[in-house]
Amino acid sequence: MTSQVNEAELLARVVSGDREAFDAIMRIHEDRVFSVCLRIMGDREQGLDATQETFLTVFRKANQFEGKSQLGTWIYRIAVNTCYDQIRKSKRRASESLPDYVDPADPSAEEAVESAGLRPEIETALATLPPEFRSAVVLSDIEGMSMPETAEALGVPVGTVKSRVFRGRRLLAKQLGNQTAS
Amino acid sequence: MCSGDGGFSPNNWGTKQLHETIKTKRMHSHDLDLIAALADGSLEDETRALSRVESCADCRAEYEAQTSVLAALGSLGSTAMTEHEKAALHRDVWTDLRTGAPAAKSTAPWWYRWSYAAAGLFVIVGLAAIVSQITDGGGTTEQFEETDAAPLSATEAPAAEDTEGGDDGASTYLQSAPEAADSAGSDAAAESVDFAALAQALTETGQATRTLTTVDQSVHADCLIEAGLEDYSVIETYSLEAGDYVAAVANDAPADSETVTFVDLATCEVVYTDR
Repeated sequence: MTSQVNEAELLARVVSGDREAFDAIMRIHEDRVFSVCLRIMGDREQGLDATQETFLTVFRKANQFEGKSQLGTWIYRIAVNTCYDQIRKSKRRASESLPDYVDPADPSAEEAVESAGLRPEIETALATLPPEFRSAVVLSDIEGMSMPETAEALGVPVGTVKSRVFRGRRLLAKQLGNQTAS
Repeated sequence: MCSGDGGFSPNNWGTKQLHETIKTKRMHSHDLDLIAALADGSLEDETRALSRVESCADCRAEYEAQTSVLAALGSLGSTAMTEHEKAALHRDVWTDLRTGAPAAKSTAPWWYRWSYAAAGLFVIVGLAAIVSQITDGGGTTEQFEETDAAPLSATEAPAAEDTEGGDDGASTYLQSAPEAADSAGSDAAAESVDFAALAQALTETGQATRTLTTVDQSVHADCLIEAGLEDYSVIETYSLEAGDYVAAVANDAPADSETVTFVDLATCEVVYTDR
């Protein structure tokens, strides 16, 4: 509750132009936003792009936050929608999927990429899910959000989230089974 | 109650096919709900679910599939950003907010980063030529001038850090008539922006007939969609004292079309269409 109040205060300061407040909000949520974006986008560079775009949107729409949900939930909803948007655009462009780009100036980048890709077969299976199933599974089963939290972040009823998560898992099991078989 | 495999390939999924497949499977949705909830431990009373799993081979298989997927997802590695990536994120976000133009990501190759600088130079030179032409040529557009106005309007976005040094690169700081600038942020000021003149300037430079690859289409995509411009591309952005706007053209517009639509980034509404 306290953190929720503090975050609301931070956001109010953001609206009034406080740069430090926005940096603080970014620091609180950047890892989880990146995690969500990476798992949904399936590519580190695209995950970073989506993360950046998410925070730009958070800043620009800060004055539209009504405080009806937790700030984090609102931010993750923006993150998911940003990912949907980028997925749609990448389909439209039909661009080739780029391999994870490792910045040579970043000594820990390679390790981070390897760490995130410890189970490439799972990442591949996740990528086969419809985006709405994928985001539900990512938020619920990877990020550990409750069904109501996931529903709020996705902007759909709890029943819909359950359906997407359960059927998403079923599709994943199928896909992972196929991969094992092959 | 439970049946076996519905025989669909997730590689060839589609919502319609998925729904049909689910319908053809004889496992009722409440069975799946029950078993999946048992698998993730969210049931308060597991008695009925356990009974179902024990009494039905397919239900047991479903339970095992769900638990194995949960275990697999739980084994995924860490996805934290590196400190370098975090620093780049903060820097790039602020650069974007300050300039109103997308910053090149520091993690991208050098040529990618320099492409934005080149684009910025191109825009600045182009705008200088436009302003010069407008100023010299008379007509209806003589009131435009360059200004050091803050890149973000006070109408919607929170105040961004101002850059006094004039090193804002590719950002476009056009301003409407001086009398409009006096009422910055007000609806009256927004209404006073001479979009017809902006559209004419775009037309004269040929921008209205093509999509500029130098504009990152992802930045304002949400706003375009909200404005009902699903299949449009941004060809120019404007940070005016009256507000922030983008000029967009339809992706499927004929080559000789010069129709430009302006969207207010504060409200994500179409404010002017020039045909």
